[in-house]
Amino acid sequence: MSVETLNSIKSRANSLSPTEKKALAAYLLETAGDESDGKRRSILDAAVRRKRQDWIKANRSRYGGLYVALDGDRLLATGRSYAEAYDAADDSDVFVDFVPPEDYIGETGGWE
Amino acid sequence: MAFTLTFDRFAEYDAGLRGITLDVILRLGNEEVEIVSKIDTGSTDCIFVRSAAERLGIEIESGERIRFVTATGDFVAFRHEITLVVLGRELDTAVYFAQDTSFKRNVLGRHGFLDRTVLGLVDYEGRLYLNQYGN
Repeated sequence: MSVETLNSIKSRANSLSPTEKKALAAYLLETAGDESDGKRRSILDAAVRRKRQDWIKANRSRYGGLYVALDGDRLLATGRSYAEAYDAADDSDVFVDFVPPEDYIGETGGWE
Repeated sequence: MAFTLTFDRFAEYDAGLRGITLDVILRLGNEEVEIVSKIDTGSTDCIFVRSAAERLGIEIESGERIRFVTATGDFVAFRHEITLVVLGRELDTAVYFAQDTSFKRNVLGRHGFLDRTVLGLVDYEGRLYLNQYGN
């Protein structure tokens, strides 16, 4: 894209309302992508998912009730909340999730 | 004392419907399913109908088996990792798919959604604000 085109878009964006600018910014961020996209995609790669699933299955007794940050089947960090585990892992693309204890029973509402 | 929260996503929902209802996308690999879901702060987890998993190509019973209780009974669901897309935000997370096809609900609950989300709700106006914590 030429500098002129970019400047033209910026100029036109100036006429938007603050709400519209935020919506535009969100759209641009969403569609821009970055170098971490490849790593993010690999988080849900079938082989990696299988490793994590096996790890969680094998470690429910030890880590049940905690959040774990995993790189495949490698434990990076744990926490009592998503935020604790995520921050402790110090890796923005890490997979963090809750490990259901062995005796875990979920609850949900009764509406239809 | 005033408090300020910042959000980067916003949606208007139909306050006339039962529950706070949003269209979300479940994605796995090249497959994705758009599904109507309700935000449920009383639900421990995100739970979806069996057909959604089948459309994603998931072998449901291969996941971790978990029992869920409701006010009126219980049911079994299985844990699987997917990408959950809510208001354009992608969350790589674990959700549950009900074993029984008679289970017709789709809920966004605490583990897997609310636990990594900053949520603002103005039900009076049918407005929902969202921001994401982490990935």
